[in-house]
Amino acid sequence: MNCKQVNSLLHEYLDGDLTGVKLHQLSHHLNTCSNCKENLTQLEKTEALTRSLPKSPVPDDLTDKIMDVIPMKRETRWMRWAKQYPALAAAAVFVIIMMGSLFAMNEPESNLIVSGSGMEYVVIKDNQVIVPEGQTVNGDLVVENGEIIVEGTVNGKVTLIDSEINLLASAEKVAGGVTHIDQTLDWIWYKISGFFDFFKSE
Amino acid sequence: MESTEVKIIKLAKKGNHQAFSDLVDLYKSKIYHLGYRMLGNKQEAEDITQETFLRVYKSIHKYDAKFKFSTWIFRIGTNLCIDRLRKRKNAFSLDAETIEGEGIDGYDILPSLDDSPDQQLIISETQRHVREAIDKLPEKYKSVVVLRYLHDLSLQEVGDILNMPVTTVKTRVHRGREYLRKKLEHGNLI
Ligand SMILES: [Zn+2]
Repeated sequence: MNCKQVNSLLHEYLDGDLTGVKLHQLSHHLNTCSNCKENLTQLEKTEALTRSLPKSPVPDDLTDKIMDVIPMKRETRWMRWAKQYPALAAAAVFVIIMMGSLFAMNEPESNLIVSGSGMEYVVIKDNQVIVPEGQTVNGDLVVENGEIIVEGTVNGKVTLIDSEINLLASAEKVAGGVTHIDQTLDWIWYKISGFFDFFKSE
Repeated sequence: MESTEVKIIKLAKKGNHQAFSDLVDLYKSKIYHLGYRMLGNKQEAEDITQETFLRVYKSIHKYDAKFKFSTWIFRIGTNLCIDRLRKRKNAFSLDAETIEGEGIDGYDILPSLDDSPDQQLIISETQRHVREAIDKLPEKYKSVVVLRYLHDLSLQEVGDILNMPVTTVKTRVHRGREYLRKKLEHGNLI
């Protein structure tokens, strides 16, 4: 067997493919030929050096860069988490809302807020909203954390959020009707139903 | 029992976004290193990683679970790299020099804390030579060498990825090994 033939055996040996007679022949040749033996050593070193080449660090933002080119609907971290753990998410929402309500309830004094298209016709005094006698409100009123005293007339709706209404003469004075909203409860309901809508939409 | 990977792939096939993102996390570094070794620079490694996952996303419905997912994604990645190498060769330009030079980045010359100063220099020089030798490998040997040695894949797997018989893979490994040996011998590294 000449050295050229041995070279191809060396590669087979490195691939783990050499057995039996051929392996014997190679071993015999290597014992007598320092040249081929050196060749094997070099090839082994080459393999070792190639294998040991360190991997350079992957850029931190690689996932983001990849996901940037993927044409999919973007999800927030919270949405992903909520879908993965729906029961936990529901519990978390509940806790957050309850905490929020507790704080809201403990608040000693909430400020009066008046809004709506008819607010320019009213008089505001402390936490009272007054529709003076003889005054007609052409629009809607939303009163939050206060009291509304209707002496005149309101042509629109009155919405009361955690508020009272005082109709001095008759209920007919509010043409659009009166809606009471207990903010805490309704808000919880609103948030929870919105949360489940999120799952339904998927 | 199904492996986590199989579950993730099933979900990703159904269009689950979280699963796809998990798949990205499972394979991004493998594809990045493939690109980095094949193309020799970080920018193209990133590009190739993005492109690979975009193709995976677009054609995951065609992926046949009978085959290994790693083989499939490596095939996409390798093909994209080979394609780039061929284009680079065709568009023979001055840029080629710059691209090769970028392969040696600051990080690899940074010493590791465990080595003595003398060892650091020798290691980084050796690594630089090995990298250069791989960078200069002709494309048909490069893909085989990178998959076999840097990703530690079996000859059969390399054959599956490159869609060629194992005997061809072996021939290419032999030639690639000889090529590297000569380069490293020339640099007095072995
Ligand atoms: Zn010999």
